[in-house]
Amino acid sequence: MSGIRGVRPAAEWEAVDITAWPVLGPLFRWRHLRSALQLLLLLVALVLVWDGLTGPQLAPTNLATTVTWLHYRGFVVLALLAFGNAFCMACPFMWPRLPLERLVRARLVWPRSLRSKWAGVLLLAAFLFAYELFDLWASPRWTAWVIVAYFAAALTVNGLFRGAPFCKYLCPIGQFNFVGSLISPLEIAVRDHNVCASCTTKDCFRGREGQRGCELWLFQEKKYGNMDCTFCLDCIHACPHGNVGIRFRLPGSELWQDRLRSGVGRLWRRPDVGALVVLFTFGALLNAFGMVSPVYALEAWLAGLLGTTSEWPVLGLIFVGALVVEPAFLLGGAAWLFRAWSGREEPLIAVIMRYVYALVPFGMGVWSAHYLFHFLSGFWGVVPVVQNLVVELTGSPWLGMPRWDLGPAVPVEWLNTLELGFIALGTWGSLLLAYRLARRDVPQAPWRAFAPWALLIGVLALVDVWLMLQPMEMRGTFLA
Amino acid sequence: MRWRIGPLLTATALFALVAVLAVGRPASAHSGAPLLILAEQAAGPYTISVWADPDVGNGRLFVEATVGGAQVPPETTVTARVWPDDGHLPEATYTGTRTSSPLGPERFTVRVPFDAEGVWWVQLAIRGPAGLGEVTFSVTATPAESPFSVASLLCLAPFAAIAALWWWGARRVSANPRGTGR
Ligand code: SF4
Ligand code: SF4
Repeated sequence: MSGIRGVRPAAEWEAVDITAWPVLGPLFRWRHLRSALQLLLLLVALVLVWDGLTGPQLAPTNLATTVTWLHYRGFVVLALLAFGNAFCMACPFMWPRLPLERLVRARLVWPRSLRSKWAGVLLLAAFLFAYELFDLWASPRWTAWVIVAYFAAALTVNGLFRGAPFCKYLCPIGQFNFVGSLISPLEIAVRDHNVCASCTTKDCFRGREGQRGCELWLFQEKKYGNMDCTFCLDCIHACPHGNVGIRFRLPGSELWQDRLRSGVGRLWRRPDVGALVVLFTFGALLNAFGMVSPVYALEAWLAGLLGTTSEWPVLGLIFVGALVVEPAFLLGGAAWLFRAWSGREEPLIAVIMRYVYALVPFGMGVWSAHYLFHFLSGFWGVVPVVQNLVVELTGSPWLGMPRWDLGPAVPVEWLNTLELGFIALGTWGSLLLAYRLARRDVPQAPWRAFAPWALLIGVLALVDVWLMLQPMEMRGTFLA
Repeated sequence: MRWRIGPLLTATALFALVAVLAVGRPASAHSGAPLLILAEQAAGPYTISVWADPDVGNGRLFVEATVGGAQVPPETTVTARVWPDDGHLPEATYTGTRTSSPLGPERFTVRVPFDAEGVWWVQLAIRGPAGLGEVTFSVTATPAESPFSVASLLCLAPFAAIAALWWWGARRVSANPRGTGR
């Protein structure tokens, strides 16, 4: 254990720094850890692209679809829940830039007007829309092209512009991870604030010879929380005093106060970040809705109403309803009740921009329930896919004939209970956060301020439990 | 009378949860995604893929078929001859229905009311202007939906422990307002 000095910790676990532990410490301080992880995932990505473009085009029989939409997503949420933003840490899309930047230096500056999350919000919404419209989970070829497009976009933007604007402002996966990591148990943080106070070089931010500083423009001394942190570890390697570590904190506690955050500002005054959280939360419900039977009835009904056989207007209407109208109605209603019951006079939007962050644990619970359901129920599905690949490549079943009946990693009767567990835990976390905010706002009558948000969180949780209990449609096979 | 919103909220939430579980349960049909049984296999002139959702009482087989890379003609039908491996029932034949959603992919769904768990054999026949194709395979019928069996409820223990820790942590952090408050 190594203490954080300069600021008194709120609890003893905040003083635990895993970079001071044996084995893990040297590992995280090893300068090539990130590139090694990136290279590993790059090789995996190359195999996925190759199989996606040249392999069988039935989704459950192709590595591109099974690994991308089933294993990768499962690992991402597991890592967010147990560690932090591990995918960004090991992001393969960033690796090709390493050899390139020896030849060409990024010179352009990202336009000031684009320095917000709005583009990221639109891209994440567009990604979710395209996922449903083009049935990406069912198409190995399209999945492969999505991976290729990702490499091209990351390389172009981060290769041309200084810093890492693709990660900070555009990348849909990154935005998802930033929000998810708000309730992760670990955070990259300073070990001793007194050292920072006397530091003259600020290398964690600026970088030094042969080691870049924070490309996400987070200055350790003033950094707070996980928003925008890719866990790239650059600051850990750059600090000449070894003063940056990876510390435990209470998940979600960064959301019940509005500190000034380096490179981010104040969350409660960032409508773009608030919109990202709305998308994260309601998008989770929409994504789960997209895989159960009632969605087909709704789509067919809307198609009849619009007199169309084309899917995009129908899907567009569902998206606008679920991601704009529904949140506006529910959050607006809760904020209105909050004002009425607590007697506080303030604009509705100010209330929403504060309490919307209480929904993050619930949103994460829904994503986790959904992704881990597929992850666990189809975990061994990768075995027959690899067996099939070997048969196709060599003409011989060296690894045995494909066992298409392989699937769950846990007994199937556990799956619904586990899903319920994640939903309940997320709901609980949201209630805790909402109560903390309510107590801060109205200390004399916190229950009155809390009640509307508890109602909202309760309604959302019930909707998700109902969704979970619906029959899964065929597309569920393909990991909706 | 003093307004006691806390107990009221808790009671309402519990009631709503019980109501949703009660209403939702009958709608539930499967504890997992349908299993892929056959992947793009030749059956006469057809190429077929089969998935099974083999719940006792409410089993479903999903069949996607193409002929020469195109959708099968509208007159095409799918039937499934089904019998239990242990012979406790005579064989029975079920006819598939073709999905007619304007937006969804074309497929046949055959409902098979397996009456018991265990291995069942299925002989699937697809008939149409392109000819006849047949395949035989086995599926293992799984228990009818029991999402919250007593044993599976044990899975909730870690979640309850984390929830308690979270609550304890939040109290502890708030009892120490001069700290970082992280
Ligand atoms: S370089 Fe190290 S000591 Fe200096 S400000 Fe950054 S973290 Fe603090
Ligand atoms: S603070 Fe910056 S340099 Fe440090 S891990 Fe996060 S993104 Fe990387």
